[in-house]
Amino acid sequence: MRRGIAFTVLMLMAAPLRAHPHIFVDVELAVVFDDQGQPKGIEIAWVYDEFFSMLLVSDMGLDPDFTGTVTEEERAALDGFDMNWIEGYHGDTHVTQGGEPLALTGPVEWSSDYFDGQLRSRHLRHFLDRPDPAQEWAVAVYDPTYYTSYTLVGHPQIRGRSDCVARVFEPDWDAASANLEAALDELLGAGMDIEADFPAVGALFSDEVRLTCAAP
Amino acid sequence: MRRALILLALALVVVLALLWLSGNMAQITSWAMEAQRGFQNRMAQGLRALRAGEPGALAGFWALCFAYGFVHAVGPGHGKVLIGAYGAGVEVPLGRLVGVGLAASLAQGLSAIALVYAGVLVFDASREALQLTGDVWLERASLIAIALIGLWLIARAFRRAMAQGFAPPALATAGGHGTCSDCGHRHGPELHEVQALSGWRDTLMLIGAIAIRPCTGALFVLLLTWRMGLVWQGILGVLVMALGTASVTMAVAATAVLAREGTVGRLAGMERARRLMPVIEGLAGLVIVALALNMLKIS
Repeated sequence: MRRGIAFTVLMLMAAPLRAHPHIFVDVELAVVFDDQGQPKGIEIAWVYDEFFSMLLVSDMGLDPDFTGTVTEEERAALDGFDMNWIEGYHGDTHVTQGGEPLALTGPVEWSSDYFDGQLRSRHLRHFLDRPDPAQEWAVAVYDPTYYTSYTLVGHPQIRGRSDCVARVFEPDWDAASANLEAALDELLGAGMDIEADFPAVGALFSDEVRLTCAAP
Repeated sequence: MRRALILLALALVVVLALLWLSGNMAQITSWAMEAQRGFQNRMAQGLRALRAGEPGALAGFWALCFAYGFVHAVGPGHGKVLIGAYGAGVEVPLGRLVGVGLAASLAQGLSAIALVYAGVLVFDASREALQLTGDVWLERASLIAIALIGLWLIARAFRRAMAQGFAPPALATAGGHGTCSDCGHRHGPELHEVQALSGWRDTLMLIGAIAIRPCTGALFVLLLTWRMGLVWQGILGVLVMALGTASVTMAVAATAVLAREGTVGRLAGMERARRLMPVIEGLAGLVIVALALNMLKIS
């Protein structure tokens, strides 16, 4: 998925307004704190839809009998299939505090698997900019171009601290589409380059996890 | 019967417009997305069953293809927008536009088949290369074609308005850029002549503009069935998928034509009713150009 020039081009050029994503991914999140109770990183698990999984596995020349699972050797060949991030791709995990984006490292640990017809991967990213745990901060997983549709499943885990609460906010679909229309009109009216300045549609339409911890 | 149909179509348009205005279009979109997600998984299961030779798998796979095409067309897509805007603006017979809806969807399926098998058999292209072609270049070409149709409509509206000696200022300005050299008719702008002349061209352009951009889902199905050694099953599946899409485009075509007939019929008593036609047509053209340019800029 994140390999090859075709995907680069797609990431950059796929029409966001086409709004029928071709890849559907279930996401599980875990927020990790270090020994001092400071935010350390985020673990992200992705489960790809069966159609896309089948196509990608077949592209890699694995599971030639289309069984929906891989052998031990094939599993080794899968390793890091979606972790070789091309330039311009930032992993689709977005952390913000007070509206300011906070940077994460690329994936530092990962694993991959294929069973029940679905490709799965799990990766850990550390904070480059640590959020201040005394204030509320937010994590969202989305593809701004909408080529991939991420859905948060399960409740986010919190590891290393017990006084933090994660709340999941679903997108307000009506407000989101109204916002998008307004933002696009504004961009067009100002004669701006939509490709470069495209509003973060994915953010509008994505689930958001808000984290709050008790004051130290 | 026809009157009832027209009223029904008008009601549908009003409901859709209200949904759009109230922002509830988002719900339709999200429903279509959710459904597509489900189909994406079932499609893989259907293909796996087919490959394993399970009884009834072929019928199940084709049924899935139909449903997939239907759901895809319900989501935002340019094909039905184009047909809808055209049907609302141009005086085109009901049967013909519905036929165009069917032909365009089938042609879209055929172009997917041609693309994949040309790539796979002749150039031995990888999926990534095919997808690149399908998604980026064909989409752009398609959007440009759509914009051209919009310009065409504006130009024609302008000519008609001129023929009637009635040129609304707004359209006169818009049409000023739009009267292109490549679609000009040098002879007199007699109405029926223009209509008859451009009829088949409009039709072909409409079909072509939609067909030129095959849907990614169809490409995926074709590639997977080819790799599974299920060539004809996959090809037929994509044609069935096109029929699913066609069921939506045909409905949109019928709605647009019937709604327009209703609008015009009501105004028929008015003296200037005929003069409104170029205005409606010109506006439809503007909408098409704006949509196409918009999508082109974004893509």
